[in-house]
Amino acid sequence: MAKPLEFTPRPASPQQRLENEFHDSAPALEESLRLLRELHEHGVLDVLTKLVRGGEGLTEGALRTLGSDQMIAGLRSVVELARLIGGLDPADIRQLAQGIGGAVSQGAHSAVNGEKVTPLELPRLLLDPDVQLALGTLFGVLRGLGQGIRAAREEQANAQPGTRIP
Amino acid sequence: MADFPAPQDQPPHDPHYPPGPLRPTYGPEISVMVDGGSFAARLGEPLIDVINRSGTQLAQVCYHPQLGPIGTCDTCMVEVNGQVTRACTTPVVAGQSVKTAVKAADAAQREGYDRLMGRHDFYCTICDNNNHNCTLHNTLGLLRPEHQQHEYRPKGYAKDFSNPFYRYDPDQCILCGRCVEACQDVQVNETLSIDWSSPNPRVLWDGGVPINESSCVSCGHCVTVCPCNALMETAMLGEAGLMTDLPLPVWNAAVDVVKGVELSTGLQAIMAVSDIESKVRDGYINKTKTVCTYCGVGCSFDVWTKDRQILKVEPQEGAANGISTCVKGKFAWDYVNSEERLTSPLIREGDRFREASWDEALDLVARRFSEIKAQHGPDALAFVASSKGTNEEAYLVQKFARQIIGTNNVDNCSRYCQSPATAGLMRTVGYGGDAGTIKDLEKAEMVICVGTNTAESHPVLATRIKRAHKLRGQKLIVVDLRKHEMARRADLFLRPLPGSDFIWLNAVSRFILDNGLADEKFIAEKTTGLAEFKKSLEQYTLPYAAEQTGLSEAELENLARRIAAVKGGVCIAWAMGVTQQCGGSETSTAISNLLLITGNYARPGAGAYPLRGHNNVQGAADMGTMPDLTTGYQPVKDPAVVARFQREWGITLRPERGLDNTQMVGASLEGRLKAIWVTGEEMSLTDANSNHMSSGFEAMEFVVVQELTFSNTCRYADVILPGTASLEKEGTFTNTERRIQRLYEVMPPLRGTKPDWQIYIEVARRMGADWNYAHPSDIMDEIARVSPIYAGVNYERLEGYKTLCWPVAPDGTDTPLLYVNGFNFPDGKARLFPAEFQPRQRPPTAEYDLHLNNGRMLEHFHEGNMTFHTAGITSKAPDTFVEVSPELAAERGVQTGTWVRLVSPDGAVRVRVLVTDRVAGQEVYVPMNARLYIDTVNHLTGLNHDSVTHTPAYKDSSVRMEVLGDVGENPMPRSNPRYGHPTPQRGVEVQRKWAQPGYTMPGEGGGTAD
Repeated sequence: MAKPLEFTPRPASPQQRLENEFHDSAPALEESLRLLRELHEHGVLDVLTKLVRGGEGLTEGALRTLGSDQMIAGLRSVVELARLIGGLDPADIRQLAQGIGGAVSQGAHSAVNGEKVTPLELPRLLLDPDVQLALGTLFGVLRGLGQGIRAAREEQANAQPGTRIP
Repeated sequence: MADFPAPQDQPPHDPHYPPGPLRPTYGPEISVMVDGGSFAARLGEPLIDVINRSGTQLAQVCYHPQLGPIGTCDTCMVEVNGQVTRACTTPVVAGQSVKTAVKAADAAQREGYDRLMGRHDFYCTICDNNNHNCTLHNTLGLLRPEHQQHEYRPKGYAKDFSNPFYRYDPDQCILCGRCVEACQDVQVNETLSIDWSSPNPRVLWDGGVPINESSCVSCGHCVTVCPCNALMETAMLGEAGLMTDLPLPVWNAAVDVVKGVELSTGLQAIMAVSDIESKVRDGYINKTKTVCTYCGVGCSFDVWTKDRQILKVEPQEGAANGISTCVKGKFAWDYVNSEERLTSPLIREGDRFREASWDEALDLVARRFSEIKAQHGPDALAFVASSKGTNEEAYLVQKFARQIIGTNNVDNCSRYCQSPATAGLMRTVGYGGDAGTIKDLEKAEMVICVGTNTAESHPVLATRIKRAHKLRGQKLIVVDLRKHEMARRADLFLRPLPGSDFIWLNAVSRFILDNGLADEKFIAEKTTGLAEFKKSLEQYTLPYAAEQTGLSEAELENLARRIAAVKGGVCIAWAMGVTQQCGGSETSTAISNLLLITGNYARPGAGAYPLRGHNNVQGAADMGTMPDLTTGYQPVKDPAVVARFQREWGITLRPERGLDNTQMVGASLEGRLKAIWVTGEEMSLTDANSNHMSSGFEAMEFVVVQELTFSNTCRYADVILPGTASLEKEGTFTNTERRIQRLYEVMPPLRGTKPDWQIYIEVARRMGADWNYAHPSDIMDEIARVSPIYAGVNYERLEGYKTLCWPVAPDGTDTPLLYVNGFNFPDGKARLFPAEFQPRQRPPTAEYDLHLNNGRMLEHFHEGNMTFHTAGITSKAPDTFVEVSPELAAERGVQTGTWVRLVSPDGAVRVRVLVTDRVAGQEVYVPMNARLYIDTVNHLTGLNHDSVTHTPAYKDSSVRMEVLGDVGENPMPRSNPRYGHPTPQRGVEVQRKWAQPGYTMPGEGGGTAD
């Protein structure tokens, strides 16, 4: 014969919740403790603790520094450089790189031997197929530079003043 | 924009409707050329649908198939026969040639999108909406713009955090109008608008008040459809992303760095980072499908969780609801992680409960059941299944009762609500369920709502009726005591005297038959019993009905003629106003008779729609948790049924009817019932006459209650078993459409709890049963073997968002529309049944002079055991109250906030007055939800009940009101949406945007046409 009774469920205490988590996480905890021991013995924990304590300030400070005009310009330059390198064809670069390698090697040899070229020898040298190839490459560089500069200037001219230009 | 065709032009019923509101029906099939390929299309449908089906990736932001074309974002620009135009607002016509990627179209798309970019700050990597489903973000990825012409400019309005469930950030709003469209024409709450004439437009609530002071009902539609993060669930903020909860100074600094570098990296590189971050979220955000635990509409959606933390509810593809939800389904899940959850079995020991192990508690239950059965016989025990539990669990309850104990004393809470409707329909048409689906309610030419507060009790279902009424002129008739939302919207609102529905229904039927307005062909071919039915209508003349109902003869005749004139289908929806009366079964029968004589069955857009209350009360009844019927409504005394269960269960079903819920209490007080096992049912508060209920529980020797929290019913228990919530288990629910849907485990059971089905198995095994179900699918396989209407149901066929409407044939063919091939009787004909009027037993008297009406509120579900755990809901509906009409308030000298005592022959409650014109005259209304059990309305209701099913006649109650004098706070806080002032309009009214000075359509005048 059941008279009504009251009951208020006790929410799990922090200790009970922790015990439950310990129970479920035993293998993971053992490995974590091993890792912590290593970090402690090498002084890493100490540094990390300090970093975390100063974390918000550090992050905000770092971001503020990164956000300064100079740093933004620097970051953008790095990005532009990365885009430049990323836009190059590695196969083409390989040939050019080999050519530069050869140029440095030959140039060094000429410097060491004190080789000179007189004005009278120039026309003969201009008939040299290797020299012609090198001149072609040099003018190619000049042409590409000019094209690139012209394209960038046109791009800039198309954008409206005051808008961001990706 | 496409118009909706007239109802009579609707195609035959097609069960495979896409989710969401009913789409318009379009013309015949033709071909359209898209980018050189030919694709099938329907004349008149939006071109964007054809393009999307073709597989072409077309940029689009404001278009959503469930909202229809809006035309605000100007992004879906294509070239049609040489002219650039919007794909969404262009209807398909013959001979169209569409190009999506030509220069002019591409430029127009980019211009349209660029304008949106000027309204939205892209910080996707640290945005809580970066979850693969941000339409604005994804369109950026599709178009891959390199230049942005329109610089982002904040709009200068503060964020609105006033609503407890979501926030609006005007600075992120792109003014696409999806939210307005959803609010105006899907939810049809008509709260949102955009003032296009303002020089700085934004989305407005009630024309410009804070959200929490508006008519917003927090249904969640606007948040669900927002294509960016302008509208966000507050539970998501700072929780979804890796870095979205950075302290604001750090967040701002990070944004500045990224935006500075973005000039060199371009938007796409930054997007790539945000896409990676979005993928990382997949590792800790789970998205799991479930079916809502609240009402009988059966909304289904994905629940997003981070471990046990619920981030949001995301509706999209649910068959019953699509993008729609109500405040409860979208936001009221706090009870799942409430600290009040039971996490250990409890055993009564003297004057207290002590925690016990599962083994100890289950051993005790099994031992005591065995002892009581041995000592007093199997009928000394009774079992009540939960209408919130799954089908599989309900099945096991009645299996336990019948196979293990050997009794038919089993019931569920449909006894308290729709059993009378089931009885009325079983008498007349053979199945006790809705004749069709929500789509049929949408399609009908006329919907009549009798005794149902649909907008508050079945909110999403009501949205479809409201939408059909608003957008295509569906005729809406409401017959009710209270002027609720559906009554205010109705074309015809009738307020008969309480308990007189049977009379006006019969009078209308008689008038239709007498004046040659009936569907003679239907009656002749598809029904029997006309002569006897007509005889039963003899006394129901218009003058008699007018005198008895308070409706005039002209009103009754008008109603009859309106119904008879409808050719495109009449649906009658009803609920507790009809069933919770002494004549609930008879009135339900009268409704069905009326539909039969007017030919309103067995075709789309017609039929009977008793609206089921709980998420699985339909299923609980389907599973045979009833004293005289086993699964699939098979009578326990039918020899064929007995044989079927003999084969499956190895026992012989007893033919005697057992006790139902209301009889159990009486049997306990008489000493015949010694023990009861109640699962997920607040019987002590939801049965009528709470004081009587309490006595019944106190008289029992052994009470087992299985619950989520310590409910009022738990106070009487000897053993309390902690069950799991619906989010913590697998199973199926069956909604009011007879639609069976799967729910999946969103999170594991709370430590210390078990799913109900596992508990039943453990007790059964301890009592010698050989129950070996490993998963609920095993139980469903057994259900399918023994229940013809579930014969073809299995988990594979219900995978994901697939559904089945019973009856389901063994090959899986289901039946969204009933009776097309005949009614469920051996001769296939419906029965016109001569019902009998049952008068009220507790009309107002000199001593108890006020009629007490009662029912639900939108914000709460029933008595509020689950919804009171959600702070946002209790802030809007903190407790119970009594609605008093202005005229009664003036007469009795009360005002809003006055404390009164309502007294009936059975008890009394103390409540505050709320003066409102929702009630009239001597009617008062008290909602079911109350903070404290001593205040619940069932302390006032009596033992009068429906003559056939014993459903308590809650609505047949009278009280007197004693004014206590003290005036407290208004029981309905100012933040409740009932104080709001909606701003109805037709969708977002994009024409006003187009009329703005200086507006041009992107690509206007462009294209390749001469």
